[in-house]
Amino acid sequence: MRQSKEFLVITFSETSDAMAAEKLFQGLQIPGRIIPIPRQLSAGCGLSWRTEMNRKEEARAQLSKAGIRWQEMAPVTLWA
Amino acid sequence: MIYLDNAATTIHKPQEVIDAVTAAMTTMGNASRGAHDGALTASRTVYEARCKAAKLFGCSRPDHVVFTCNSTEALNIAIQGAILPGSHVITTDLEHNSVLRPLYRVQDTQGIRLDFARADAQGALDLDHLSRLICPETRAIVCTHMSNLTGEMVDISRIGQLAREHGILLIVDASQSAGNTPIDMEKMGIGILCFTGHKGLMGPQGTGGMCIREGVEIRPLKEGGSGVQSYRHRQPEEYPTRLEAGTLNGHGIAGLSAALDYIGRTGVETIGAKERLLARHFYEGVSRIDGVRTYGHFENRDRGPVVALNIRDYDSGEVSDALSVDYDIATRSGAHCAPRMHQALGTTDQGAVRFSFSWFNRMEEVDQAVDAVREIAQTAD
Repeated sequence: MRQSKEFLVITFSETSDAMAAEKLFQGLQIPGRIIPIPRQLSAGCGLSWRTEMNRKEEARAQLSKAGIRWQEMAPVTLWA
Repeated sequence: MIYLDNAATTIHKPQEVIDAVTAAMTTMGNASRGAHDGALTASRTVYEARCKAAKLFGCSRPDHVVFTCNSTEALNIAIQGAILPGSHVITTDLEHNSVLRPLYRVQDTQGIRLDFARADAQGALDLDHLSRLICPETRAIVCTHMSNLTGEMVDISRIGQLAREHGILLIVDASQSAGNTPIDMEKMGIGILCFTGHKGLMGPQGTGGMCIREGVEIRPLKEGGSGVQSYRHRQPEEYPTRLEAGTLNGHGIAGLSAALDYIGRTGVETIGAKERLLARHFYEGVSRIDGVRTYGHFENRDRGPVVALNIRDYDSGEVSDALSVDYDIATRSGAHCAPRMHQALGTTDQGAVRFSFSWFNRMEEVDQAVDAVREIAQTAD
């Protein structure tokens, strides 16, 4: 059976923003990866960044510093 | 073949461009459509290409780099989407049909009032005339950076200054200058820069785009699949998706991205200097030949790597055909989609034979082309 846990998910309205965030986070060695936007956060489609819950403030600060647009930042329980 | 039709398209591409397209065609999914490896490879590739284009052209935001099929599509999006109905618009006699036809269209359908800044008999833009055409209703200037027919350069910085002073949107067609002439759209006062990937940038055909200054609003020409915000009725408002409905030419953009790396490593100034040296050498060779007439001011001014000429009153098509069949030299004859420029030069009937040079041409090829022109001029009657 698949295990689930709570992740921090950051959503973007634009693929280019998601790509910019991925590049930023990888450069800063903030763990995580691009995933499809979970349905809890959007009924549409698109990309989001999944990371550990304890990275929220760091992620928020770095996105703000880099001027990268994001939509939502929320805890979501996902398959680990 | 000696290929001197680089203003139409560059035929010699850096090997890394070809390799990048091949790799993309075996690994890339659809950009912005999903989060699996294939789709993400495509999304990352496209995003990196946006970053490189933004850097090359001085665009402050990579997400304001929009990819299109070519300059024509970019210019159509810009002209039909950024100019409000009823506006006054200024363009020039130097323009290609990719500017003229979209402008004639909005003139016919949206009540745009259109004025042309004139070119002199050698095809140089009269900037004073352009400045005198500006009026309170002027909303846009649409202007080429370099004539595709003669290589005449336009002082975009000066026009950008005029545009800034009067609050006018400046749309620039950089089809001929991108890759061989430094461009900094922010410093030059450009609102929308339209470029193609397959000429001086040495990328694949089917690639091009536009760089949009922050704050410039453009209505989409197309609406459709975007991979994001799927339940919205209309196209998402954010750039670049606003203007990129449908699947991008990801394979081509991968090649363009490699081309931008090549240009970044080599240097636009280095490329431009070599191409201009080849053109200058060609001009100096042919201008000494009896019966040859070149078009343009060649003294003490920067020109693009293009030389247009005619031999006596010979049909330009016949001359170009003789160059191809007898000497295996590729040139372009006829009107070059630049009708008003031919009117200014007085060559609407004869057309002109255009020689255009690239980074991959060699001086020996230029010498052979000069010899061929000399022989045609001396032997035909």
